[in-house]
Amino acid sequence: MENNKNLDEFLRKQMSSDNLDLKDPNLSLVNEARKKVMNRKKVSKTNGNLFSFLTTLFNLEIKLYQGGLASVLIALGVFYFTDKPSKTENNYVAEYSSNKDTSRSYSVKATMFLVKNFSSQIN
Amino acid sequence: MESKTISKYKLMVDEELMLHLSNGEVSAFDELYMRYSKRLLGYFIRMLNFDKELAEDALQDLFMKVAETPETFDRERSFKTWIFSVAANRCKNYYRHKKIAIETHEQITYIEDKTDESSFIKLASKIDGLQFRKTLQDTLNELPAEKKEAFILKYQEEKTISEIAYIQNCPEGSVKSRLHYTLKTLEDKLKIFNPVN
Repeated sequence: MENNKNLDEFLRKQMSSDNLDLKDPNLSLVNEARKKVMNRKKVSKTNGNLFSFLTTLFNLEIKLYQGGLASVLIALGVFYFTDKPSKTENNYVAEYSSNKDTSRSYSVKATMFLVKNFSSQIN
Repeated sequence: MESKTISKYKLMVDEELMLHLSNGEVSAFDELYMRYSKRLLGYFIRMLNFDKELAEDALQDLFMKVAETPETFDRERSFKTWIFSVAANRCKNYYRHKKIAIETHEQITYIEDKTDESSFIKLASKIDGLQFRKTLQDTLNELPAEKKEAFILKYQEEKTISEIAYIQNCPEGSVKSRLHYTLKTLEDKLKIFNPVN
C-alpha cells in the first residue's frame, strides 16, 4: 500500500505539467471562439423575453408531489366556484319569500288601505 | 467596474461559469480559459507526441466547441471531467484523421501479476530525472492511444479511476488494466539501465 503511494507520487512528479515548461496560452488563440460567445448574447437579446420565458418554462423541473398539490388546489378552486351559483339561487329564494312575508304583514296591508282611500278621494 | 466584473467570475465555480457562458458572457469564457488552457495544452502536447502546433490547434478546436455548443455540457456532471472527455474525443479525431504514429514497436504481453512498485522505483532511481522522463515519454509515444491517455490522465491530470473511466467511456477494470500494462512496459524499458535485475 505504502509502495503504491510512493509509486503514484513518483510518477506524478515525473509527469507534472511543470516539467513541460509551458507558458499560459494566449487569449488571442481563441478569438474566434470568443466572438461566438458574444454572438450568443446578441441572439438571445433579439429573440426577446417571450423566447427566454418559454425556454425557462420548458426547462422547469416539476416534481410529482408538486404536480399533485397543484391539481388538488385547482380542483378545490373549481368546486368553490361551481358551488357559488347554487348559493346565490338560495339567496334569491330567501329574498323572494321574505318579500312575500313583508307584503302579507299587517302594517303593509294597512298602508295599502290608506293609499287606496287617498286615491279614491282624489278621483 | 471592469475589475469588479472579473473578480465576480473568479469566485464562480466552473459549472456556474458554463451557465453564464451559454448566456453569451464572454468574461465567463475567459475565466474558464484561464483556468484550463495551460493544463489542457499540457495534455494535448503529451497526447500528440510533443507537436506543439498541433496541440495548440486542438486547444483552439476544443474551446471553439465549448463556445459553440455549451448546451452539450450536462450540469449534473463535473466540468473538469467533461472538458477532458471532450479533449479525449478531439485527440481520437486527430489520431484518426492526421494519422499520428501509434505503432507499438514491441508487443508486451499483459501479465496478471502486480508490478513490484519498490523494484520499479529502485530502477527509476538509478537514472537521472531527465533520462527517466525521456524514457517515459518514448514509452508513452509507442503505446496505443487509450493506454497512453489513461496514464496521462492518472499521473499528469491526477484523475481518479472512475473519472478516467467516464472520460474514456469504458469500465473501470479496463482503465486499471491499461495503467498496469503501461507500468509493465515502462518497467521493461527501465531494465535497460540496470541489466543485472
